[in-house]
Amino acid sequence: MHNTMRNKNIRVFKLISSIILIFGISFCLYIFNQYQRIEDDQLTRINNSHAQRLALASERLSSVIEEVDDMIKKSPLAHKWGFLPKRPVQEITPH
Amino acid sequence: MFYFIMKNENVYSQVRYLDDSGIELIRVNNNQNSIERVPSTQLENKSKRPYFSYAQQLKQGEIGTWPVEIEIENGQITKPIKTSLRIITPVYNQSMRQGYIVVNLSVSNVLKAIEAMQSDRFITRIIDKNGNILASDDPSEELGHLFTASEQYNLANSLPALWQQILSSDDGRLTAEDTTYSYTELELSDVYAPLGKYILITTPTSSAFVAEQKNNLLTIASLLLLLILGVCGYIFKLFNSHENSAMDQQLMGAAFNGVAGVIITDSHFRLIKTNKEFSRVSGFTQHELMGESLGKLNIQFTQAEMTTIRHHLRQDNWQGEVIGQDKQGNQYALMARIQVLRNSLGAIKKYAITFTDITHRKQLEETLRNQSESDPLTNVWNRRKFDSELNNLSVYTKRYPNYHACLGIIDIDYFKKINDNFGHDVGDSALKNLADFLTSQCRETDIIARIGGEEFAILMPHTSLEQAAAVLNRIKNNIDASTLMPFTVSAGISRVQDDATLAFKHADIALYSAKAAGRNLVNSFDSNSVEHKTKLALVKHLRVKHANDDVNLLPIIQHV
Repeated sequence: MHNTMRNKNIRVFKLISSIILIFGISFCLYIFNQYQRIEDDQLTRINNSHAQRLALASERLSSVIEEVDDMIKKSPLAHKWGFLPKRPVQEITPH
Repeated sequence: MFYFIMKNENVYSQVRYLDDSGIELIRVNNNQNSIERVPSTQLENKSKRPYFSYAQQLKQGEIGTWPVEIEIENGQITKPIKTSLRIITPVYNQSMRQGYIVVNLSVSNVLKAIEAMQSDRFITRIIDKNGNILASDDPSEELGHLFTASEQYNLANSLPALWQQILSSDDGRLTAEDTTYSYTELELSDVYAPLGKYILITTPTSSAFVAEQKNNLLTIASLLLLLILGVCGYIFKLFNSHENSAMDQQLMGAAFNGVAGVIITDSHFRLIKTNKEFSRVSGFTQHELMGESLGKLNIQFTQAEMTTIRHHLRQDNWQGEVIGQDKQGNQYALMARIQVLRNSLGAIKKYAITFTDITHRKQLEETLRNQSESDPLTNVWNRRKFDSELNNLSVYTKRYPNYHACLGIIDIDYFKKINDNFGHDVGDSALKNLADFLTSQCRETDIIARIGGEEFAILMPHTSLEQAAAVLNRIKNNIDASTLMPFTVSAGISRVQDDATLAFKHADIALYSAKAAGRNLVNSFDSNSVEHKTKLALVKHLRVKHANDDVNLLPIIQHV
């Protein structure tokens, strides 16, 4: 009778330990999963924002360069630069 | 015109026109969004500057750029430091070179212009083909290759892994040391290529929001962990409690069904539980006694014993022998222990009575005691028992002087002749018959003992000397008349007094007197008798225990 009781207790103990172990592993997996999700979300956010910023910057730079190029091409023709009075070289210190 | 150019696009730091000899004729500066034309007195001769030499090599309609460098005015580096890309194109009039338009494109302003959203968390940099930082949201990083103290800001030096990745791919991403780097290659035309080859954006990988999320997760994990530990603890406690309870039950079962008897009662000694041993000893089943008082067990306690037990139970236990009667009325003896069971407040809740059956032992003791105190031939008490009872009676009479008790000593006359003539077996038979006769003739309270070979003594409590004489005379006469007992007896009687030895001597002297007077007589000790007094004095003097122990005394006494 004593052995039967003891075996029953051992079985109960094993059952409880298994449940706790499974619960603990599930809990760890859940926490790990949540942690990974936060990391992934953050990485996704960073990737998205970086890609967006890089695309916008490239586009804006192209636009700026285009305007500068346009301006520099038109400038020589936009004014009678030859009529500007020249100054004697000796008046001005070269830098 | 220059004013409107600068006003229209805030990427220029300077726009000027140089004549064909390198002298500034017009210069418009943009100092932190303040656009102003430089007075003619402050215009400079740039003919010696390298970029002017480069400009002179440009052909008509050609646009040239001079690599990004720090702006210098009047021979001094401008404060704050400005880095700019010079874009130069020659001006012609009727195929004659008139001068040069030089536009300083501020790299910092370009960087600001291309940044759609300013944010402290993002750092945007424009990098040249050698990894030098031409513009950055962090000004301390800019143009490190031009300052000895800031050389480490070259990407090839500070982040070689990133630089290798940049060289190997047009765009990409790298996370290192909690910082995420993203880059893309600027596909600018050759003219504007010196403005920069790459745009690099960096942010800390972990933000406050992420840190908060992680903290929340950590808090949840901690709480859940605590919950799990709590549940585990509770389950293990339950399990342990269950195991202990099971073990207690086993122990209790083992103890309850052991060789000892167990009775559990409530605080009023009403039976709650008993075991098989108790049923065996008492003859009652558990069902018959459930809820009944212990009194039903016919346990015999005196008032004094009850007082003692109560006294001991105040100290939680009592142990002693108990005599009771079973269901059939048979006596049993127990060695019992009563243990008080109290609650946490100290109130008595139950009594646990454990006992072992000592009935057989007590019976054996009784048998042994009887054997040690009785005469094996006649089955009456022996001399030891007689002495003990005589002493008890003496003590009693000493305590109560008006109490009367008598001692009679009976001796078979000429017993030696019976043995000699008929044999010892007949003598023994005569002794047995006399003992049986005395037992039948005396009261239950009288003590009859064989105190010598053919001598018997009778202790008669609550008896006066006259009553004792009457009894012994009746006995003597009945023996004399009996055919079963073909002998006569002589007897001496004395009153039991505080000195047991003296009482015995008195009876002995009286017996001697009866013998001396011819036998078949009953004689009482008379303290006034000269003969008795003389013999008493003699016996005391000779220190003879029995007056008639020594036959040699007879002539001495007769002489006296």
